[in-house]
Amino acid sequence: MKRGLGILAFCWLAAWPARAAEVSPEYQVKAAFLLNFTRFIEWPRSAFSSPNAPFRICIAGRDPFGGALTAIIGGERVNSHPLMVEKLEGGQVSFSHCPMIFFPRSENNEAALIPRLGRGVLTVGETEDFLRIGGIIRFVLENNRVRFDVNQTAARRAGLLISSRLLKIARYVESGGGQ
Amino acid sequence: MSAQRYKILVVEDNPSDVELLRMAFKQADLECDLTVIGDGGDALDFVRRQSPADARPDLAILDLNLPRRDGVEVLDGMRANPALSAVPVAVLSSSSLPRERARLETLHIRRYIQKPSDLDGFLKIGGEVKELLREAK
Amino acid sequence: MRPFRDIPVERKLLVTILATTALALLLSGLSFLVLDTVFFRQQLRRDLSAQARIIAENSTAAVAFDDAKSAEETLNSLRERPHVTAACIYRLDGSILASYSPARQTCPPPRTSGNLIFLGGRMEVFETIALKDRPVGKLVLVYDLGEISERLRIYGVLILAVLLISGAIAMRFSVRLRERIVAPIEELASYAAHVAETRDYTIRVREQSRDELGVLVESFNAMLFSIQSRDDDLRKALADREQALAQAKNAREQLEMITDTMASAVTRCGRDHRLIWASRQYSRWLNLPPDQIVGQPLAAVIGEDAFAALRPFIDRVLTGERVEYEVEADFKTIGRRWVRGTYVPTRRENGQVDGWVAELSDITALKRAQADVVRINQQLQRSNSSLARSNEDLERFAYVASHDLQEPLRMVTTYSQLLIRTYGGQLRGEAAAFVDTIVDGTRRMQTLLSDLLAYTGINAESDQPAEQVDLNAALETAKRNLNAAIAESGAQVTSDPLPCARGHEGHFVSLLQNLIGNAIKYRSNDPPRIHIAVRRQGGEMRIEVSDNGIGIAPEYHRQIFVPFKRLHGRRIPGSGIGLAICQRVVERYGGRIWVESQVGAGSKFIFTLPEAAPPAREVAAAREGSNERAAL
Repeated sequence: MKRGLGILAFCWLAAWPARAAEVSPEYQVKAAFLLNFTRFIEWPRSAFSSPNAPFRICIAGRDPFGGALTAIIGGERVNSHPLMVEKLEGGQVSFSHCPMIFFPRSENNEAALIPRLGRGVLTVGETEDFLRIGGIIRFVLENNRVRFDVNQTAARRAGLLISSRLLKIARYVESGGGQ
Repeated sequence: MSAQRYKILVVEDNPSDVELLRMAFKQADLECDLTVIGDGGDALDFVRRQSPADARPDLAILDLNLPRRDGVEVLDGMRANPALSAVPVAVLSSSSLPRERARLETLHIRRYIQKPSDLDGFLKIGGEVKELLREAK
Repeated sequence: MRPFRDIPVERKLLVTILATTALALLLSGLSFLVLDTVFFRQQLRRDLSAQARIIAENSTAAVAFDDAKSAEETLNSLRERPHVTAACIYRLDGSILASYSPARQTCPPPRTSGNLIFLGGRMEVFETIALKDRPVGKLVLVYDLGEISERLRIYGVLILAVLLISGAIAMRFSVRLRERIVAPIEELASYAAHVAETRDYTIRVREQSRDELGVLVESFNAMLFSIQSRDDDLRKALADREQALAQAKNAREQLEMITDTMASAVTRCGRDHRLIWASRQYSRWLNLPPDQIVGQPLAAVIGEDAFAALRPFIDRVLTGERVEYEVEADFKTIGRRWVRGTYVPTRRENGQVDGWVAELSDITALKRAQADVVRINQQLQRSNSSLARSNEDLERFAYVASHDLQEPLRMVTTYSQLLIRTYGGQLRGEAAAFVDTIVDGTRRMQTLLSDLLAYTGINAESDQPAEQVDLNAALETAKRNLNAAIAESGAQVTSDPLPCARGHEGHFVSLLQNLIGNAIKYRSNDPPRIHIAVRRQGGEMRIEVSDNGIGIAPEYHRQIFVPFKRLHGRRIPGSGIGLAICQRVVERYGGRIWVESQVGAGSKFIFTLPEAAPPAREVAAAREGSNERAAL
């Protein structure tokens, strides 16, 4: 499966060859996944202040993508919203402007933050119990390939509509009452 | 009265009856002269010839049943002759026929005498005739 | 092989149906095939393109997240399309992410231009997998066009099967058609043959449907009906004719039977005086065979003389008049005959007299008999009148004789009395007895003559006018006349009040006197009791003279009224004419007299007289009538 990742990464790298060497292939794939998530999820209108307001992908802590994410989303839009990457520094309390927050494995701060989040926020994490503590999408590595689980209950609670095609790709879907 | 002799004309064809009449008159003491004519024709001639000068009979006794002319013709002849028309007539007949009697009733004769069938009856005729003559007087 | 028009209708129908069905099926099948192959490719193209797009769309996420397993699952949905022999999803770099190959066929490499090509027996479809307008991979589908030929084969088989089935159905239809069309026609044909054979026009074909066959059957039945009614009419006309012939024959026989039994002869002649018909009696009468009568001129049959005698009646009957005649004519064959004929004119329908019917009787014998009867009648009348005359003469003679005989008898009586009176004393012995006998005889003869005179006088004195007679007075006279006998016998004579009667008093006096005298004369040992009763009964008076005398035996009840019949000889005096006088008197006045009596039980003499005595005028008329009768 390393080969799979590699191929994927290759796709992206082929498009953007200049920055690829600095970042591990795992996060390059994850960056591409983050962008792809925006294609299969609908956010409530209330998540944006205006139609032209930027779509911010916020990273809660240290950026593990090393610029790969920024490179991937550069020039991309979700509907009419231009994609942006924003790093959230420690102590910042308001995440309301972030439709998507990525919790890097290293920070381990998601348990404290997630309960405080409002509606219209997609939470993506990497920790073992991310879904249990209220996170919506959790990256997992399976046979050296990047896969993801989805907490559908949490997503509904957050007012997000996840495409069935995305759910079909997910390794595991947590959909509340024993689904 | 007894001296008186009567003249009687008798027209009768049966001489026996004439004889009986004479006998009856004799028995009745009737004095009379009889002129007897026995035939109707002779009798009619006689009565027609009689004139008023002749002696007029006091009584005529006529039989109706006569030869040639019957008694009624003789009677008519007498009535037609004025010399005899006043002479009383007695009819003496043996006929008992009602027809004859009826005819006689129209002839205005004085008496009708039926010839009696027995002697006594006949002899009584004498008295009867005497009576008639007396009446005629 | 027979031409189509000669094969049976059933076969025609079958062939037509089968041919039509087959042709329709073939045409529709072919056109369907052509259309199908044309449209199927277009359809397939659209279909596969759409499917490719759906698979591309469905595999977007799998390609985006490089999920080969999910991509394969998506491709596996092609299992529903058996003719898709291969499908592959290529990554952007041309490597295969997922493949589907049930026929172990390899996917062709993605082409850069065009998205659909037909290649040999297959079709290849290319579709770009894009994520938000950004291509992320390629999809290739390979479609095996063997499906089309398979479809063609299926269609062929189908058409064949349909052909077979429709053939079978057509066969069945033809059977049904046979039942519905051919059978009725055959039935009709058999009926027609039956009718033609048996000439039974009463049968009717059952109508099974309301289509043209029904119309045909109806028309056939109507035709049969009209034939039948025509046939019936014909039969009826024939029967009528036969009946009329039979009736005519019967009528002719009856006519002959009647005319045969008739005493008179019957003929029928035409205007031309020819005999049309003659009864047997006629030919017998004329003594001619019928063939010498019928069709012959009447003049030739009966002879010119007889024809001339009948001619006036013939001329009259031909004017339309009914003629009855009696004529004597000289007939050719039978000589002079008296004929009584009735001619009745016969007429044509327009009323014109075309001849006559004659009814003829030979009355020659009748005429002779009539002449005989007239002659005999005349003789009879003559002898009757002479008889009556002689009877009257006799009666008159008896009357006159009894009257005139009295004259000489009176002489005998008177002179025998004169003899006795004059010479009675000189007669001795027998001489006196002889003279007494003479006197006695003359007296008896006098009685006899006077009774006879009375008897004959009753009718002889008929010209005396009748008068009203009080019978009470007549009875008094009679009793007075019988005074001596009544006194001597001690008789009692009683009477009801008697009515009046018309007649001659003398007659009634002698009637009553005779009856009472008889009652006294024939008395029993008891003193006579005589009663005269009167009854009125049935318009007549009934006068009964009853006594208590010796009575009369019934066998003498009639005899006693006969003149001079005496029952008792000289023992009882009498001329024996009294009751005869009584009978004469009673009968002269229109009554009857009879006796009711038994020996020893008295007698009752009863006579009747008309109740209301007719007026004198009628008596005279009655007398004239009797005179007329006497004149006959």
